[in-house]
Amino acid sequence: MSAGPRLTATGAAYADLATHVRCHGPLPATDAAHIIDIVERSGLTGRGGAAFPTGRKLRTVAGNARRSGAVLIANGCEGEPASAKDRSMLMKAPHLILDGITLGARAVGADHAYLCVHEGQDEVLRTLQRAQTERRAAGLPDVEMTVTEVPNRYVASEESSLVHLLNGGPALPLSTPPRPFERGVRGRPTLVDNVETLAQLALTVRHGADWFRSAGTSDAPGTALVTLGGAVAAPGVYEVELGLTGADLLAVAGGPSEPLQAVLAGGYFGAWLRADRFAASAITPRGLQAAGAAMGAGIFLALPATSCGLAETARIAQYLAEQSANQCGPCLNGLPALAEALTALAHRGGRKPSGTITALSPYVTGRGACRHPDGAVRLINSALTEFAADVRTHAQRGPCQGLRRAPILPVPTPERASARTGGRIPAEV
Amino acid sequence: MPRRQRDRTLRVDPIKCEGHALCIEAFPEMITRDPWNYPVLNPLPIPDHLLRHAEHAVKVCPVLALRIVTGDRDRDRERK
Ligand SMILES: Cc1cc2nc3c(=O)[nH]c(=O)nc-3n(C[C@H](O)[C@H](O)[C@H](O)COP(=O)(O)O)c2cc1C
Ligand code: SF4
Ligand code: SF4
Repeated sequence: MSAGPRLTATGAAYADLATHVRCHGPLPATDAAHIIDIVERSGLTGRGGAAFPTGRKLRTVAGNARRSGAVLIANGCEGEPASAKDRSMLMKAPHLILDGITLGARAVGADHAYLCVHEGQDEVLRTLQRAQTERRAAGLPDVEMTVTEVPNRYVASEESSLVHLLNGGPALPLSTPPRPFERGVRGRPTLVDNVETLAQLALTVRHGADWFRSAGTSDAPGTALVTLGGAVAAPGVYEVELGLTGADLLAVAGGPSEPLQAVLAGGYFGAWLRADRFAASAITPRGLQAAGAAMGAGIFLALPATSCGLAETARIAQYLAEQSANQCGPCLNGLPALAEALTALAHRGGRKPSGTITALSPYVTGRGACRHPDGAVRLINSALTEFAADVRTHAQRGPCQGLRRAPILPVPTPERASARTGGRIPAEV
Repeated sequence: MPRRQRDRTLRVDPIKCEGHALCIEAFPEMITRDPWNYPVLNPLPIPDHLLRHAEHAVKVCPVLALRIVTGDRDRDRERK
């Protein structure tokens, strides 16, 4: 493992076009076939949560779009409440993202791109305008692009929700198939990529597949942006080489700020890992999956030994239940039932709630139109296994001391989570 | 699980489905009830001798949420 920072190499709070080109070189003139070839060989995988091979997605969309032309969506919504990496890239290095959008559009034959961000982010919009003005003045051969504001709801940034919104509907998931890469915006094959993925693509097309693979591991090449939060000395966004251990990852943020009991790996789409298991895990999509968690969008939240992991998870579970798009029976009924049971276990104790969770979970996973319920069920069940000792204590003796501590994990307030898209605003989070 | 190209399986559109449970009554051999009255589908291929029942279940769904799909349309399901 060698390389220094890549995406964050300029070190600037805002890299203007001149700084960007001086650091990374000009926008490459590479053609579609070469872009796809380089990205495929690089082994780059999506940084939006699912870790799907980016090159394969490019090739599929390009193939599907041969006659109709394609559309590109850059997903910069960052729906995960604890994540800050996409906003950080949009503010500091918008030219890398805009390069990636132009190269991605060229690869799949898209003549229009949408950059989607959550509504109310005025600073991001201003920064993007400034960057686009610089690019126009320099005469860069950019694809035509619209910046689209997306309602502030968890499922609004799922890829089919974005397609739905851009086709004039509400930002709610659609039934699949067809999936966006088959038929998306205006009926055309649509490439949806996370903004960090596109920034990684912009560098990889410049420097080549071998360069990309010179960082990270053969199984998980390259660097990734991570958001480190909770009980670490210096919470924030960092760029790391994939393949480091959990212990080394926490050290990047100055290490734990107090003794830890667990880390939530992969954000609210991920799972808890006890501190010792996390410390020994490889920080790669496969390594975390093997441990029962996920890389997700690179979010890692450290939980102090004196917190109540069940109460923390119950708050998130309530939030995720409120964020259901209320379209699918098992999701709209199942998530509140699971969240209620976990809340009962955390705050009142007893033996019944954990049995309820175990019994209901199989009726929720895999039964929605999108993967929102699957992530919520995984998170809730990881709390039962990783905090098994606490589950027993709560069952026998009721709530624990940990409830006295202020919550660690961020959950958006009702104001922020409110929505244009038929969202009922929860009275209390 | 390898599927033959001509295998027929049940598929429900979870957004359209309103939990009327009519399909469950029509085809209990392969459709059971979840705790909220929504259908849980047996993922295995529909045996030939039950195909008539499956087609009947599709017909009774008032919102056209239930379908019989042929072949392996599921290859991209592992993605979100
Ligand atoms: C409920 C839900 C919310 C999602 N929110 C985001 C998001 O905010 N940003 C994002 O990049 N991907 C999000 N995704 C994943 C997208 O659907 C899609 O897989 C991703 O944007 C593809 O980009 P990638 O291949 O570069 O990772 C979400 C998925 C689900 C199920
Ligand atoms: S699974 Fe849940 S969040 Fe996803 S579309 Fe259905 S109701 Fe909405
Ligand atoms: S009959 Fe149709 S709407 Fe009713 S439960 Fe079955 S699939 Fe759902």
